[in-house]
Amino acid sequence: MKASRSRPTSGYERAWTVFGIVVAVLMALAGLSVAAVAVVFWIGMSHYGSNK
Amino acid sequence: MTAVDGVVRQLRGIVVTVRPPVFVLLAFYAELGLAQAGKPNAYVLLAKILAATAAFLVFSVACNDLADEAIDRVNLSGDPRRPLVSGAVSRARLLATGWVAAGAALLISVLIGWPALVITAVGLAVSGAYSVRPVRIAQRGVLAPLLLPACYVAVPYLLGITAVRRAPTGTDLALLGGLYVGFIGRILLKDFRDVRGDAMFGKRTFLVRHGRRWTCVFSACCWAAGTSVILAAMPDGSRAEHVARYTIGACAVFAVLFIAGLAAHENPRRDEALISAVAILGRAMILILIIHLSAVDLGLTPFIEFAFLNLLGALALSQATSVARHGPRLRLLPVPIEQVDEQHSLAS
Repeated sequence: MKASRSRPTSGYERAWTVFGIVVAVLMALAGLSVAAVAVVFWIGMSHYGSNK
Repeated sequence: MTAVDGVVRQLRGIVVTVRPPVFVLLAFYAELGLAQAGKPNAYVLLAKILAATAAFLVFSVACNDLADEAIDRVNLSGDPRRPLVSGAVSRARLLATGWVAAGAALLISVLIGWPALVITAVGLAVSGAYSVRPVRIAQRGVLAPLLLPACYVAVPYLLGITAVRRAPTGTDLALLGGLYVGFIGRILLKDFRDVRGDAMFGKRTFLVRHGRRWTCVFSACCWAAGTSVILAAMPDGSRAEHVARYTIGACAVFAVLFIAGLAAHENPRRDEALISAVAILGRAMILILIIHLSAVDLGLTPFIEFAFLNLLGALALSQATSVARHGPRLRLLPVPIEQVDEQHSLAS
């Protein structure tokens, strides 16, 4: 069967994810609220592995 | 099963059908359209556009899943992201969901304005023609990668533009052209995942026709051309814009390097990792444009914009490099050869 399988997140990936969320929070504080939400979704998609 | 269970199951089927990662990508294009038209933080407009885009996407995915069921059973058998193949929904239910979604997309577009209605109607027609026989553009080689981006890029982007002003300007269309050509470069690579089933069922994709090397060459050319057009469509030449330009340029350079790596080696696991990395950079470019246009609209000081763009550029390159090395977190396992043989004999 071709099924989905997750691998564990490395410490490096976790650190960059936290960094990205901090950047998104700073952007929201600066008034770029929609762009900040977009950054959070972009980080989520990066982990998911979308091919588009 | 209680009525509540039925409703929950139906809703779950719709959420899976909308393909959340694809929806997020289309949402980026919609927000970019709004930002380009000068309203990056118009929440109500954005909500309407996203609702229309989600309904449009459900229709497109339903058409595609119904038409490609046999191929998906080989390429994506058991994948929970394919509800028809995984058994989460029946053909009849998916068909009904598609028609209801098409109606909903048109209705919501009316709320945005008549240009949005025209854009959505054309998008639905093209999307149906992409998957459904007798037209079925998906099987017509070079036409498929040219048409699918037109739906995925143009519909949400133009909905965003026309929600603010009646007609797009020359700069809006130039930016759309760059995004469109760049997306062709990414969509060509998606066929690497599906090459076995596509070849088996006679789906003449660009990859099946021309092979790995030429697909990568064409993809890299689209990346270069698309990025050049996007950069040319950014006219004001402020300091912050220079930062946006070099960040976008850096993403494109890394993407071409990953594509060169894809051309050089043949390994399904590595292919998946490199294609995911290229996609991350493509989406990062849209994000950089959104941030730049939003900052200009908001009147942020160049220093703050400079900081955000550099931080995002660093984040994009690190994420892409990490995924290129280790692969995405959610992976697909290959179909055992005996199952491929079984599907092949069924196809024959």
